[in-house]
Amino acid sequence: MRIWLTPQPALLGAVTVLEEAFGTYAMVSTKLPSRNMPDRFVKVSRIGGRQDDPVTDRARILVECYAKDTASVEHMCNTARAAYRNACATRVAGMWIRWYGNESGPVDFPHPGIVDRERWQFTADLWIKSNQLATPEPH
Amino acid sequence: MADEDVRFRWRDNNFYKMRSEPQIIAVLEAIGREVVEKANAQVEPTRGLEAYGMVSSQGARRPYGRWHVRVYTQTNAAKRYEAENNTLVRLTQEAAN
Repeated sequence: MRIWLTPQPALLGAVTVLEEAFGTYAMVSTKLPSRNMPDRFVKVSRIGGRQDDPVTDRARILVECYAKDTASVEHMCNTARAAYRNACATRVAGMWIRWYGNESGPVDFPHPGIVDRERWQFTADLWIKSNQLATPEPH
Repeated sequence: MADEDVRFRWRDNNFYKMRSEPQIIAVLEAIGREVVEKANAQVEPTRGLEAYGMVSSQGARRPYGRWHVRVYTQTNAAKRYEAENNTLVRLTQEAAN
């Protein structure tokens, strides 16, 4: 019998990976700052994904990087991509990251409401282990 | 039995034809239509023109000729909304699942 446990909060894992990668260099959040916009910030969203089996939740994430110049924003995107790759097979915020891949981007996609910042973004899949506590009853 | 010699001969032209079979096109266009309908529900038309549109065509035979369904922004309001909300990225994910 399959045991389906509540999946881990994948977005929290996605944010934590980037918080650890950027430190104080850039703010990482799931929302845009409403005021006092920092020079550099990153918005992370979960835009889809699926869980086909009890052991892995496959989250599709969207990472939007904002900075005042193109060189910085591209560098931020690449830092984020590398951070996710290096997070594979590690524990982050209490969850195990199995895999990262299926990237699309980064692309230059300016935000019409934030004209004084460049925005580059990419999408990718982040696989989170969801069976930490799964201990099926022995038959 | 173990020594039987099996050979495959791929016929690229048949793959090309298969990619333009009506059943294949119907599946792809249904996904596209779903995305367009949901996207258009979020943005008002401009002077009778729907915010998002869709085209469906076969790609170049180099050699694959994959069938493409493309959803795009048709109005300035849609372009702005798209840039603010990443609507198509979200909806295509939803439709693909």
